[in-house]
Amino acid sequence: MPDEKVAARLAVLAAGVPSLAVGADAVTVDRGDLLAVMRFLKEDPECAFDYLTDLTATDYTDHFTVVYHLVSFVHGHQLTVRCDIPRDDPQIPTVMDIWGGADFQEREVFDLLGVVFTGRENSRILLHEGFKGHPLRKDFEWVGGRES
Amino acid sequence: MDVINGAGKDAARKSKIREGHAIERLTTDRVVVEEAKRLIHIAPLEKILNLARGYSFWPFGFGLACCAIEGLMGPNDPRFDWSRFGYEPMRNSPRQSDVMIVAGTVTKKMAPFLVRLYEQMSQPKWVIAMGSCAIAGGPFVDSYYVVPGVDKLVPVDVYVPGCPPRPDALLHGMLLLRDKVQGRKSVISHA
Repeated sequence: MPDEKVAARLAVLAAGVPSLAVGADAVTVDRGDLLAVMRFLKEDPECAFDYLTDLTATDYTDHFTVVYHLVSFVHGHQLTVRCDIPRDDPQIPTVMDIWGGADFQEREVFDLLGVVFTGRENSRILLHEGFKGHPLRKDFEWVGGRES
Repeated sequence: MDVINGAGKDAARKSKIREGHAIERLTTDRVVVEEAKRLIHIAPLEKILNLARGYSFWPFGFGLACCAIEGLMGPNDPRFDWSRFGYEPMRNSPRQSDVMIVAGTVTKKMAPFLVRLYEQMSQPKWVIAMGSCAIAGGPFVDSYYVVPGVDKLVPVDVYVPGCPPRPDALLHGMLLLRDKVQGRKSVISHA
């Protein structure tokens, strides 16, 4: 469960954002409301999540889930935000304007899973530019390597 | 006679050598001939240069993974101390080094830089592939981004197996390379 103060603020926020659901260990939100929720979480003085520790994504074969791990240095509490996106349209708005540190992590998620972050330039970070495919996708198949 | 060492299979050349030491064509004085035979060996200058090269490799550490700890840091410390063999100055510039020690996993993104640095080394140059990853990709051989062996990129002189090999193993590899450079009969592996 989120911190009590945060839970209270999330309840207020959920009144205006229908897609926001507060779960046992994470908050889920639709990608259409993502930016508004994230901006609230950072700018609200009770929440004040001023640091994005991690930004990852998972391939569940029928959809992707992008996961944001937030920490507040001011209050010392943390929060996990999850956002499901369809596999045939893997787009999600960038949070780089809110946390600049999202830059490299979004590039890594794009590189390895092919999730496109709108509102920013998407370029590979670990693999070279000519690489075909996104290797952390479950349907990624690769031929080569050792000599047979 | 030492002159034969390393000579080719050219029969004519061999028979010429068998005629005797060059001093015998100049004098018949036995004392002079014996002394000259004892002291003067006729061989390519390269042999003397190789003697020096083999005893003073300047390694170029190419540390890419955990092998760098065992292969580049370990041998430097007083316990293993490869400076007692003359391999002391670790160079961080390819232009100042003789032997590149590839210690770790070579990824495809790293490959062009590895080749470029190898080509920047001045001749003569040698390569030691240290550890399973550098030899053949190691446990990551089936990965989408690992080069299955550094010998796909540059010619390798000595393979040091292990995951990672101990510093002693790398020292052994350096001594094998010394034997190879100095033209003794190279030994592939010891038990």
